[in-house]
Amino acid sequence: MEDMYARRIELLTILLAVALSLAFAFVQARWPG
Amino acid sequence: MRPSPKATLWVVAYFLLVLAPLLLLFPQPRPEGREFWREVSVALGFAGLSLMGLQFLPTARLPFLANVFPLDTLYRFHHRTSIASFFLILAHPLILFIYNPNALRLLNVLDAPPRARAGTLGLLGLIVIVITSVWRPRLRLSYELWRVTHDVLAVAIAALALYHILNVNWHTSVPRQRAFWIAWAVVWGAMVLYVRVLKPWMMLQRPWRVREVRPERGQSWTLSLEPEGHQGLPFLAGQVAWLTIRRSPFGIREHPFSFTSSAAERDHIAFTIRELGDFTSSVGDIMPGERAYVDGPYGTFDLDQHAGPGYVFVAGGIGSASIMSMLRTMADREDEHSVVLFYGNRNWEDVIFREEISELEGRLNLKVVHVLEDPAEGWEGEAGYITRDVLDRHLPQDRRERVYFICGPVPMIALVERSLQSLGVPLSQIHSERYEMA
Repeated sequence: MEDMYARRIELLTILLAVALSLAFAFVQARWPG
Repeated sequence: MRPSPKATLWVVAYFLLVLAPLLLLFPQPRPEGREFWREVSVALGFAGLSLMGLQFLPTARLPFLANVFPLDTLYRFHHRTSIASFFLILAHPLILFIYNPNALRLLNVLDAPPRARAGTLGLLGLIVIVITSVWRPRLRLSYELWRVTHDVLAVAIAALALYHILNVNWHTSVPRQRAFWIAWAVVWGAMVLYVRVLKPWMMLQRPWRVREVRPERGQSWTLSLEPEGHQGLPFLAGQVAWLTIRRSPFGIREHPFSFTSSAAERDHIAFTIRELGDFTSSVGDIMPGERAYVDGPYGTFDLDQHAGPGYVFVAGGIGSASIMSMLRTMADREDEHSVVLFYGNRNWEDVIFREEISELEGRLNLKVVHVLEDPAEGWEGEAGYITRDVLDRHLPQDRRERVYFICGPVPMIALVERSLQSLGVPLSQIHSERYEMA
């Protein structure tokens, strides 16, 4: 069971990392500095 | 069982740590905006490095983590998130090169500025660490050589990556971002010192002496240790410890084993070890009186943290070691809870603890179901694997209320977990421990 939770956390980590990276790049392009 | 509040807190802290460099990028003031894909590439690199640095924690066997999360889960988490961090980091140069092919010249370590050289070397190191870790058996790398390479490379990669981002000095020119990376790197360094210096020193202060080396069925040995000048080691039935024998605790040869002895006994501890190659094949040569060092106890695979109205234990081969500790502890405590034990082995001769389990059936409220993969002619018990049908035939009426402990090889655990779920046992009542950790 614990391994299933771990896998969800891993997937969420990657999704959040990619989403935040894209969001930041968008913010920088839209409102530089 | 829902995740404990402690576990939830650690998971929240984990997300905050890994994503901190990204979250810190947003508030004003920010460095001047650059091209969209360049910023994506840098942000992915930051996330990758933060996740890579986090790897120093799960394998440090910090008591406050190792007693909240199952150890095998922590190690599997380490394996998988390391690979995830590798791909996030790899995305950083790849996106840069696709967006701006001129940047490829930065790969020339002779001409490139030091910050780019550090990045390139760090990435090469990361590729080596991933290849040698994922394909170690195929590359026929000995455990010791791999471990030294892994540890040295991990520190070198972290140092090179840190040098790279601090000297590019774009987003890290913002004090909060710079402070985060320096503080995070201090934690990484502290972990290395804890694992390599402090922990071995603490083990050195609490030596153990081999009391007995007893042969068991199925090419296994039980190693009993007694404390030398200290009070011993309180542990919970089902937990594991790392054992160092005939070597200094400052070395790299240490091996995880489940306690086999009763948690109620305080004058000694015991581990039952099957000869599977490497260190385990030499256990029979160990002599009484030899010195040993023990690092533990660790793990959440234990009776006391998951008490239930009744239990079902499922053991495969040497996976019975931790189950045996549970049974012995229950017997010492005169525990009257009902237990069903499914015990899978290749053949009847290999059934470790066979006689003692039979004796425990008389002392405990215990029913044992032996399942033999390759039984001799005339065997009237269950044959094959511990399948859904086998479980269904022998599980009692209150199967949905019971707490399950499964210990054995990965395929067995997967099969039993699936079968139990299809029999209506809630996943939250199933606790598993896989062999493979290191």
